[in-house]
Amino acid sequence: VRGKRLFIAVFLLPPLLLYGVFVVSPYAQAFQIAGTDWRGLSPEFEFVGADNFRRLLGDGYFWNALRHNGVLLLLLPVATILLGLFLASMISVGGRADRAGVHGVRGAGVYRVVYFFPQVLSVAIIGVLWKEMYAPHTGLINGTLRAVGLDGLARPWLGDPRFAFWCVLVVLVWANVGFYVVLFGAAMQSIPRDIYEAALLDGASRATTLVRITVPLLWDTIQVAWVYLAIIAIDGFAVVQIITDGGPSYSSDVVGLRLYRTAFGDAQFGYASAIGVAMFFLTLSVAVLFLRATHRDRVER
Amino acid sequence: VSRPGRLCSHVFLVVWALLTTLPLVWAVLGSFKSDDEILTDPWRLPARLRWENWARAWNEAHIGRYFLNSAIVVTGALTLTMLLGAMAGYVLARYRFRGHRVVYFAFAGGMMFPVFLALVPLFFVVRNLGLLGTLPGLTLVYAAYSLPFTVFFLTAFFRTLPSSVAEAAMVDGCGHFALFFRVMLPMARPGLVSVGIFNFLFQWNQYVLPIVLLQGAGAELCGLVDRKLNQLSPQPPAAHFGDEIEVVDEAVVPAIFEAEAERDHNIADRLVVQHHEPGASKRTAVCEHHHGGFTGRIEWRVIPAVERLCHGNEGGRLRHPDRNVFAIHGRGRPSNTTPRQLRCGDVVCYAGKRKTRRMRRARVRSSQYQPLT
Repeated sequence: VRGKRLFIAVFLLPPLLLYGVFVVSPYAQAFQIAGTDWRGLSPEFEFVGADNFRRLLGDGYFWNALRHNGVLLLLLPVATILLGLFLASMISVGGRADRAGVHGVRGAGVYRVVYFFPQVLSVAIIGVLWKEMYAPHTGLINGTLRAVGLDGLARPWLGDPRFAFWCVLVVLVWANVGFYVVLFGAAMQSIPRDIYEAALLDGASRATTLVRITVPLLWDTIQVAWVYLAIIAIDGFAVVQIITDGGPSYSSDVVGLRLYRTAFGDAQFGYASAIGVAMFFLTLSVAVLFLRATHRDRVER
Repeated sequence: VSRPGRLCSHVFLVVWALLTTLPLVWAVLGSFKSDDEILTDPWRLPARLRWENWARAWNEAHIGRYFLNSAIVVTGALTLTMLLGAMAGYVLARYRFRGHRVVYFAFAGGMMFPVFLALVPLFFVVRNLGLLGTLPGLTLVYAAYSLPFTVFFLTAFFRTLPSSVAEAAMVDGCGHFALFFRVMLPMARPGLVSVGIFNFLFQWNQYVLPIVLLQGAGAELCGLVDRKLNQLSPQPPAAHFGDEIEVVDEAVVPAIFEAEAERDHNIADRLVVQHHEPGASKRTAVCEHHHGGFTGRIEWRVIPAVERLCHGNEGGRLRHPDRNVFAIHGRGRPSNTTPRQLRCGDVVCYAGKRKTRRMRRARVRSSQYQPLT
């Protein structure tokens, strides 16, 4: 028994120590610092109670950033999942249908590999690459528009407050679709082929089979995808910081960037921690909403 | 599916394949282009394969050093994560002890918290340990933040392994430690591999942690390849309020800077030229805040020539590929103002060429600038 205790202690203490120092204690301190006006330079600070949170409620820049995260939270999963489902179904069931059954499209493997490319790049590279893509004179997007004679559509994408945020959204969708094409594709492989064949015999169109058969049978996978994409949407820091740095005129700001700037730009560590706490509750409420929604789903079934 | 239908799906698939590959191919081609070729038509192909660009990236930009840093941190962190994660996961899955549930939920609960919440205190924890701006510091932090998912996953995985093997080993006189390292760990290989791949992607893709934790002394040496990449790309000029902008280029003439400060969408404050010497060989214009106490949004007006200056940034000096040099000195900032970078969307205005004296306006577009005359 003593050997067992020693074993448990030896195995559990190092991970707990590392975890406690670098993860648990910062999280705990964050709530504490959020109640102070600490500016990081001196050890002195005062507890200001809920002042930081009161300030947060009236901070237009914070709400502006939060609104962008909200839009991302709504649109990023929807756009990515729809596009992923569409492309995956094109690959898996878009091919020939004959007596032997429904086939995948020719070259399905090649498409999957190509679509997965962006997933291999790290987020910093994706950011730098797209920043160059959007460049007004030297970028590929305006270059292409000019090359095909659509000069009127060429514009300084990232320089215009009307477009900058949507440009970021496009990059996020571009970077993520490939993974979900592969994920949904794998899930579709497990759907029995004869279901599709039966539906096709009954005269169902391809759109109908996608909506009525594929989507319901993939529902669990789609939920998982939604969770991953929601996490990306609540964050969004890296891509936004690299591509637009929140600009122009804060038109593509996100909460993570607001926190980073407040802390490491303005040295308002107390207020930045308050933003962090707000972000935590945002994550929490999204998680609760999601669990609610899926729970009801399960009960109904 | 009919023949036109198949064709139709191929069309969609090919379009997305092009959208995916074109940017990547373009970037690879760009690595062989000269500055001139990059700055003209984006569809232009490089005249020849300039491998010297790659040599420059290696020798001058030290990309190898940063790559090595990334590799060191991720290798170390991944090893640590897998070892500690497997140890904790195994104990939590196979042993009952007091505080078992607390430990388990402490680890699993870590997945609920956004990293951003910990950012500020983490910075000070790492600094107080003397690990700020060091690779070991970053390694430990990566490993710590990978633990929640790793422990959660591996606990579940170790539970699925048959207990009969462990019991047989125990009967044969195998100790707890030997049982773990010689029996359970090899059995858990599939689980370790999948969670290892996940952790590798998580750690390799880190962006906010290195940005925050590689500050301060020694940080330059420790830049990771990802972070460095962003710094190497064309940067917007770091012009601040009160900064003196020296126009060395003779083609660009008396530059009058006028900036309008916007507070909550309403033009409130104005920034005007404080001082400007038309006859001097070096022309300077100092921008100063008019009223002070600025908090709102700013729009600047900048010379169209400035739009082109921001390709390459050498320690405070901004150099245009045409070798028009614009030096930016950080002379004493006016108090009450927040130093601010010239950013995209900023509108800058200047009096045109020497003779015309016509006011021109330009909007600063992203890091590349486009005139809006």
